[in-house]
Parts: sequence; structure tokens; C-alpha cells
Amino acid sequence: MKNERLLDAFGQIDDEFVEEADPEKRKKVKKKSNKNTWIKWGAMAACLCFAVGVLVPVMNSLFNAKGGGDFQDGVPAEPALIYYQGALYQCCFAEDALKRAGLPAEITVDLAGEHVAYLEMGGAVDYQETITETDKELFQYAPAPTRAVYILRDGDNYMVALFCRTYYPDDKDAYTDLAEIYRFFDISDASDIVSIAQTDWNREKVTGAEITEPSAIEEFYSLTTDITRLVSMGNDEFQSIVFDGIPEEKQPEAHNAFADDLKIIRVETKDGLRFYLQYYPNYGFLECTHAMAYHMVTPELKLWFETNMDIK
Amino acid sequence: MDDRQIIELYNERSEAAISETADKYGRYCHYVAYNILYNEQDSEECVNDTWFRAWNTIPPQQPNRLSTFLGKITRNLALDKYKYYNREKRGGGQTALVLDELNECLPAMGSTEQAVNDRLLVEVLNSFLRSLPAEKRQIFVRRYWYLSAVSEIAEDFGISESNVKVILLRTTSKLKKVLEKEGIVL
Repeated sequence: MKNERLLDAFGQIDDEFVEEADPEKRKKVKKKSNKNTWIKWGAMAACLCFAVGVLVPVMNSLFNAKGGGDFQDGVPAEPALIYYQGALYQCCFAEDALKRAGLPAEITVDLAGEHVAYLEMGGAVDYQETITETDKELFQYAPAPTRAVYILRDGDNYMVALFCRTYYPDDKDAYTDLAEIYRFFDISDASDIVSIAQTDWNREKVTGAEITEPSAIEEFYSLTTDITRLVSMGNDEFQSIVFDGIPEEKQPEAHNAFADDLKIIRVETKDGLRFYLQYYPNYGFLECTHAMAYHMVTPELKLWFETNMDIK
Repeated sequence: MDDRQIIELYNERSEAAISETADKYGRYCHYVAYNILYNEQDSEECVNDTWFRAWNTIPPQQPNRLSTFLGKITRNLALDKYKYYNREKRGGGQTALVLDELNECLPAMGSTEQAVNDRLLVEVLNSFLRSLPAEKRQIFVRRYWYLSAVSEIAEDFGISESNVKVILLRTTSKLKKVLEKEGIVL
């Protein structure tokens, strides 16, 4: 049967995905979070990163000695999460994920700029800030010091800490908006964005228009930072607007149709950093997973996508 | 005992390899089998067969990740047993539910698609999984590799069951789109 064939094929996926989702590891992290006193949260920390690759067997680094935490061959045994100043970051090694983020394939010590914070293991996630000096540090990413990318040193291991999403320990359903995410990427005006492009589902290739014209970018920036008009909402509210009232037996079809409408939009900054938005033109929503938010697209923004990117 | 040491026991043909493996991964493999078979005795059989197979394949195999190496053996054995016994009518198993859900991401037949071999299908699955945000990927793998119950996934990720269902629905929809785009016919 076809579904059995798919289920069988699923059984052969890469080991890294199976290990990443190991239920035992998930329950261990949950136990750690229950013990934490200053992050009051009894549920699992979640990180909705854009297209972040997970661990590869051989780490691309000059340093191979083991650091702290659960390491095998100098590599953390599971995707490590960092909570730092209202945001979650994920340790990232995979070359394709680094490339999608606009980062170099090889993480070397000279990418570490100014010291930012000391970290310790523990809390709701794997690393949290501490005032004590430890062998785990966050540094600015020297080529582009922003809140979107840091370099993490754990012992002798260096890796990228990539911004996943904003996070509020006392309110796990909280969301923010695209304007806030621009600040993470050090975008303070339109000139800080160099291109806006439509990519394939894998975020590897530009498949549609790539907008580099400053006036078009300025208009996009203006339309997406006007918080009085570009209404943002969380997942629950979005779900009720789009899917409430659809009978249960029709839900799969409705979700299929929604998924079919997806267009991936890549924003690239002057520093070469990249992040991705999800646009659903027929539903009128622009999703920003970094912000855990959906934005109702204004008529002007819809027109911008139609005119500049031919997305209808 | 770390994995390297356990594998060395297999290489030396020491019987302690089995006991060490069972000690470290017995619970993990049992979890994988039980989600598929929902029967203690059958699950235990699968787990024991897993040790037997590990003994017969290491060496020459030298798995990089012993847990997933064993988990995959157990999963395959359990699915084979499930198909043979057709146990979906027996209370509460996840396998029938998961198979129903996977029906939703079977690509529609087209005029130009070619039948695809399993290797290509797995490549496409890997590429698709790599493109997903980490949490969604983990939820997807929990459901379709580990066959974990939706309620358990919700508990472990600290989200509601309906949220899990929505994530699964949307992700299977995306997978369907990808399979169709790649011209894959099952």
C-alpha cells in the first residue's frame, strides 16, 4: 500500500533527524526546566527557527577537544538552545543552514568579536546567561554585530548561535511583529535591506523576482513597519480566522490548500544576513516565524507583491 | 558505557555487548516497538530480535549513532510484524492512525510522473525535513518515525493537542506539495 511505502521510507531518514527527535532527550529537557527557579515555565522550550540544519557528524571547526555538555567527537549530541535577553538561539553547524542564513560555511575563531555574555548549562533550555565567569561565552559575530547572530564558545568548541525567535518565559503564546525582527537584524531603515527575493521551498534557490531597486525596497519596508495598519496576531487567533467553521472532515483539505498557497520570501540585509517570511497571497497573511506572528496583509502590501514580485 | 565501548564489545564478540546494549537502549527500542504494535509481548520479541540482528551485523557495521542504528532495526521489525498480523483493530495502536494521516500527503497522480525508487524518495524526505523549522521537524519525526501519540507529543512540547494536529496537517500538506513537485509517484 502506498501509505505503508511512505511510512517505510520514513524509516530510512537520516540518523540526525531521528536522534534530534529522541523522546527521552525531550523529556530530559522538560525535567531540567521544571527545576529552574528564575524561568517560571513548566513546558518545553520551543524554537521555530527558519530552516536551521541540525548537527552533522563532523564539525567544521579548528577546535576538536570536548567542551561542556553532552558532546560526541566535539559536537553537541543534540541541537542546543540558548536563551538570551528575550530570545531563543539555536547552535548551528550544518553548512547548508549557515548558507541559507548568509553565513560562512566554516566557523573559525576570528569570527568571534566582542565578548557579550557568559553562559551556564541549565534552565529551560541548554544555555542561559550567568554573571559568573565560565568557559561558555557569547561573542558578537564580528563581520556583522547584530542580535541575529552570535558566536558561542563552549570550552574549545566554537559555533554559531542563530536567532530563532523572541521568547517570553512567562507567556509561551506571546508574539511580536516583523518590525521587532528588523531590529534583531540591525535593519533601522530601508537602506539596510539589499534584496527581497522569492525562493524555493528549500530556501536554496531564488525562483521568482529578486528586488534590489531601492525605491521598491523602501516601499516594502514602509508597508511592513507601519504597525498601525499591518496587524499582527498569534497562532491561535490566526487559526480561528482561517480554519474555524470548517468541518473536521474538511480540515485536511483546507490545510492542503493553505500549504499550496505558500510563497517563501527571503530578505537579505546589508551585512549579508538572511531571514525568511512566509506569504500566503490568497489568504492575505504574511507569517514571520521569528516573531511567532501572522500579519494581515494590507491592500497596499498585496499590491506591492503583485507589482514587484508578480505574486498574486 | 559509551557507544564506542559497546561497539568494541561487539567487535571482540563479547556477550557483554548484548547486556550493555539492552541496559542502555532497551527502553528506547521498546518505546519504538510499542508505539507500532501496542502489545507488550510482541514489542519484547522485536527488541530481542533487534539485539540478535545487532550481534549479526556489528561487525562489519560500525554505526556512528548506535541509538538510531538500533532504533531503525526495531522500527522495521515492528512494522513487519504489524503488517503480518494486521493489528489495527486491537485497541489504541498508533499505526493505523498514522497510515491514515499519511494518506493525506500521497501525491495526486499526474501524466508525466515516473514511479520512483525508494532511495530517491528517502532523499526527498531528508531534504524536506532539513527545510523545516527545528520544532516542526521534531514533531513530524516524533509522529511518523516514532509513531508517538499526539497527546504525548503535545505534553512533551508543551503545546495543545490541537496545535500538534495543525502542525502535522500543515506539514503533511507541504510534503505532498514537495512530492508532487518532484514528480514522485508511489
